[in-house]
Amino acid sequence: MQLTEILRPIDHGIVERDDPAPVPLAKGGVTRSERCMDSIRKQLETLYDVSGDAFFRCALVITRNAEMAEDAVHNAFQNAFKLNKAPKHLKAYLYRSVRNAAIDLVRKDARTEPLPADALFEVPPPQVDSMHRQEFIHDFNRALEKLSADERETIVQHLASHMTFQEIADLRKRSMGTVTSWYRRGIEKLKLHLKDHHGPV
Amino acid sequence: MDPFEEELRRAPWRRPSEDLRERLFAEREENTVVTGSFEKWPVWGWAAAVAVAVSVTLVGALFKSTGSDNSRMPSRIATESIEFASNEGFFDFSSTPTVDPWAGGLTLQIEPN
Repeated sequence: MQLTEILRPIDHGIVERDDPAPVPLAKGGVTRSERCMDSIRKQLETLYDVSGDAFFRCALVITRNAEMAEDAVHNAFQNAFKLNKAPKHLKAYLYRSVRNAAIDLVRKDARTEPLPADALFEVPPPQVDSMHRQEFIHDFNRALEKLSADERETIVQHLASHMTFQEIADLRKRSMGTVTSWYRRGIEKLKLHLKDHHGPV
Repeated sequence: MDPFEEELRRAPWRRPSEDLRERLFAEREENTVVTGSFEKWPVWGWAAAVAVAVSVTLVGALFKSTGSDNSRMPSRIATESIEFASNEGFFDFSSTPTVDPWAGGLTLQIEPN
């Protein structure tokens, strides 16, 4: 790999935020009741228990850094705690909020180094997993780097965060056709790259 | 989903650290809006408090305007009147003063008994 390729700025391709629709304050502009706070907190706890990994990976694919991804999730949830009223689709709201928080953090801390080998994956120690699998994970990680930001994010959201194409389309404010073509193009590129290294897949 | 996608899905995707959950929900008390009894007043309570405050202010201003430098007038007049009356013998009942209230000035003539 050429030095220029290693040092080229990472093009996240992310140029737009998608701020979630503002939730109106409670009537009279007064702070919410304790009952509402408890309800929101319980919903958020349940949602985190079910989809916490998905939120984290949604941020991780943007930030490329686990600590920054956790900060993005943290910021999104802290904003959700301040809501006066739970949104109709809290899960979708949180996805957008996490994504926006990750974008904001990346913009504040622009990095130029390439994707670390263990950024998206937990690489087990050699005695636990085979060397072949570790190499596959390493190459998979590098192959993801070769995709465009949209393709990479879509693949991670669908495969790692288990989001449907419709949910991804709603999150990214794109048509389902666009999302599926990102996904398909990305998968084809991954197949091509991994085939070069590991034979036919 | 084809086998390749299945294998990618089964890859050991990174998970958040264990303490993230604790960070999120242990700090909720610090980050929620503080609501005290003061902020729980209903609208009518606030309206009543404002009305009372305005009324007290108006009454105080009205009272002050009728007084000002003249606030001491009643007592000053009373003191000077008493002093004048005392000097003129009004309170001296040992004699019978003759005072003509319609005279141009107050002339006190004391006739000894």
